[in-house]
Amino acid sequence: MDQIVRELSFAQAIQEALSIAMERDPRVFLMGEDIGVYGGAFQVTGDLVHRFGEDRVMDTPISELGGAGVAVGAALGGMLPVYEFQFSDFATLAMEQIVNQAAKLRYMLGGSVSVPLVMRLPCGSGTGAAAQHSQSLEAWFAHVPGLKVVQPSSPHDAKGLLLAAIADPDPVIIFEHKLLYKTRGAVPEGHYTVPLDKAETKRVGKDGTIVATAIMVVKALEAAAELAKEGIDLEVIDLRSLRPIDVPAIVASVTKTHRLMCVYEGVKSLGIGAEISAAIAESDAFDFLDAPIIRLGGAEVPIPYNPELEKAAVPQVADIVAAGRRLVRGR
Amino acid sequence: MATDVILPRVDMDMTTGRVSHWFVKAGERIEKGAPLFEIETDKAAMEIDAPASGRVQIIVTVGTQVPVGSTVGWILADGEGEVTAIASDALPDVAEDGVPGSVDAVEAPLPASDAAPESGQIRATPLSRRLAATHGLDLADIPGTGPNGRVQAADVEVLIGKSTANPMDSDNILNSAWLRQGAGASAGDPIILIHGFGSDLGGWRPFVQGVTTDRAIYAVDLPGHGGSSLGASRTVSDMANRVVESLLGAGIKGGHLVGHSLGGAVATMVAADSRIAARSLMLIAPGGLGPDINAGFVNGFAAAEHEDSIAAWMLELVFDGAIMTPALIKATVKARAAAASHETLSVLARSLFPDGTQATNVSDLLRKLTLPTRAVFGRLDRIVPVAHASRLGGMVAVHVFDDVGHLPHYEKRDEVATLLLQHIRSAG
Repeated sequence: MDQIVRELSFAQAIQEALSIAMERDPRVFLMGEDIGVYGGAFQVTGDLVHRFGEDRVMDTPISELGGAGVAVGAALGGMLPVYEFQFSDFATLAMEQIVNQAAKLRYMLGGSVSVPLVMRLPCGSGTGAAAQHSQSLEAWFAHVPGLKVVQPSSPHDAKGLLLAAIADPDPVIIFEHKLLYKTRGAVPEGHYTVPLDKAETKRVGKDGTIVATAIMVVKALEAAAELAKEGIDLEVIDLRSLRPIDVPAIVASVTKTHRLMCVYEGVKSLGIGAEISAAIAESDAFDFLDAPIIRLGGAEVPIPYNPELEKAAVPQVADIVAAGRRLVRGR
Repeated sequence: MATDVILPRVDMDMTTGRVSHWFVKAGERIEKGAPLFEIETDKAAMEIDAPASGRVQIIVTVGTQVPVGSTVGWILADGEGEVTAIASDALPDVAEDGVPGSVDAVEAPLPASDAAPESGQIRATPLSRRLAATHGLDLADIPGTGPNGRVQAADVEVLIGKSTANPMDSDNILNSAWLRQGAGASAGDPIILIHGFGSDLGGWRPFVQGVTTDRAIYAVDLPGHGGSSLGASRTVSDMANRVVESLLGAGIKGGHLVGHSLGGAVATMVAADSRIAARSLMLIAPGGLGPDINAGFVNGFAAAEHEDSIAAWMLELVFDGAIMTPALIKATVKARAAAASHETLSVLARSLFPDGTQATNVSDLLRKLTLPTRAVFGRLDRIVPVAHASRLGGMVAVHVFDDVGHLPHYEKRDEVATLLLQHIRSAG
C-alpha cells in the first residue's frame, strides 16, 4: 500500500503521533501541565482534549515530581502514559521518579514488571527564555541505564520515534528542541515507527563526518551545503538516539572519511561529544583518523537572556563551517 | 616470555618520569598486581603494580629520569634468563636536564601532546602512522604539511605514489589567472608571469599596471602558494612540471616567460621544457644561479604569521622601505592568511633551500637555452646576491639597477616594464 506523504510541522507530526497512538490503544493517555484546554506550552497537544476528552488528556498540577510519580505508577499498573514537561529544565524536579524509579524497577524486581512510560521534554535555547528554560540536559538522562533517550531532528523522525517509544515496554525520554517545532518536513500518514537505537546518515560525504543531534543536525546540513561550495564534502549523521548510541554507524563513517566532528547544543565538556570521541578513540576507527577530533558544543555558561549572547552560547552555522574547514584543511 | 615493564604516563603533560623506588630487589620474585616500583613526576609520585608474576630484572635504576614508554625493567618467567638484547629505545639518551635526546617516535606509545614537539618526536595522525608502517616508511623522512608540521595521510600517500585523499591536493592544475585579457591572437603570444617564494600571482598586479601592451598577461600560483595546493611538489623541477601541465591545461602552448626570484629558476626550467614553445625569457632577481641565499629571510618569512613579522621581512626585500606601503603589507598579510599556510611554506623552504642553500642550479641549463634571455638585478639585493649575475653566460643581457633590492619590478617598475617590452619586441 502506498503511504500518503504530506508536509507537516514538527509539532503537528508529534500531535498526529499522539492521536494515532490513542486511537489504536485505549491504554495510551497524556499527562502534563496545561496540555488540555490551553493546548500545551508549545501547542503540541492542541485540540486533543476536545477529541479524546479530559480523561485521556489530563492537565496536572504544577508539581513535576507528583505528575511524574503518577505517570510511573500508571505505567506499572498497565497503562501507557505520555507525560509532557513544559520545559525539559523542570524535569530536574522529577529526577527521583525518572532516575530512581522508572529506570530501575524492571531491574530491581527481577524483570517481573516494566515501566512503559514516555516522557516528552521540550529543550534547548533560541527562544529568549533564559537560563532556567533553555538548557540541553539530555546527557544527564543518557547517563542512566534503564532509560532510552532519543532526540529527533525532523518531523518524520519526531512522529516515528514517538510511536516507537509508545510501543516500547521501557521508559523512553524524548527531547524535542523548541526551535524545531515550527520546522516543516515530509511526514507519512498513518502508523509507522523509527528504531529507537539507530543513527541516520542525513548527508553522504567523503571528507569528514559530522555527528550532530536535534537542531544541530539542521545547522550541520546547512554548513555542509556551504562547505560543499568550497569542495569540502562532509557526511552528516543524525545521532537520533543518545542511549543507546549507534556506535557502529559512526565507526563505519569515520573509517571512510578519516575525520570526525561532533556538534551538539549541550555544554561542551562532559557531554555527548566526549562520549562519541571516546567511542571512536576506542574503536577500530582510531587507526583511520587523519586529524584531531573536533567537538562543538554549548559554552560553559548558563544560557544568557541577551539574544546575541544566547546565540553566541551555542554552535551556529558559521561556527560549523569554520570548524569544517579546520577539520579537513587543518586551518 | 619476559614481560616488558614500561614507564607509564600518569599525568597528562608528562613526557618523562623518574623511578624513585623499586619495591623489590633485582632477581627477587614478585606476584602480578603487587607494587613493583614508584615513579615521580613534577607533580606526583605513584606506585606501579607488576604486570606479571616472575623474577624482576631492573634496567633503570632509582633516580634516573627516562621518557614515558621506556622499558624500566623486565619480569622473567621461571627458568628464563635475563634480557640482554635491549632495544635501542629501552635506554634512551637522557640529557642532564632530563629531556630525552632521541626517542624513536614511530615506536612511541603515546600520541604527541598539544605542546610543541620535543626534538626527535614526530607529529603524525593515526592514519598516516598506519600507512607509513604498512609501506615500511619512516615517519621521520616524511615532511608533514598539516598544522604544526603534522604528518597526515596525504603526506604519506605522496611518497607511496598514490593520489592524495585530500580533495584540495587531488587537483594537479595550479591556480592561475589572466591578469590582462589582451587584444586576442593578433596581439601575439601571451606574457606568462611566475612569482617568487612566499608570494602569489596577485603580487604581479602593481607591475602589470605599468606594462603597456595589447598582449594577454597570464600568471600562475606556484605549488603551495596562493590558491595552488602543495601536493607532491618539493623541488624546482616539480614546480616547473606543474606549471607546464597547468599551462597546457589552460590551452597555452607558448609565450614570453617572466620569472621573479624562485620563479626565475622555475621559468628557466619551463623554457627548457619542449612541451612549451617559449619565445623569450626574462629573469628578475632570479634564484637558481648559485648556492647563496639569505637563509634568515627564507626561514623567517616562511614562518612569519603575524602582521608585524611579515612586515619586518618585507622590508628586507627592498632598498627603500617607503615602497612597502601599509596597504601593500596588509594585502600580503591577507593573502598569506587566506592561502598558503606558514607550515606549507616552511616545508617548501626546507626542501628548496636545505641548510640555507639553493639546492637547484639552473645556470648550466640557461647557457644551453637559445631563446632571447634578459636578467634584471638590484645591486643592493639582500636576498640573492647580485654577484650571481656573472653566472649567466655571455648571451644573457644583464641589467643592474643601483639603489634597488630584490624587487626591481616594484622599485623600478616603469624601467623594468620598458625592458620587458623591448625584450619581447626584439624576440619577435
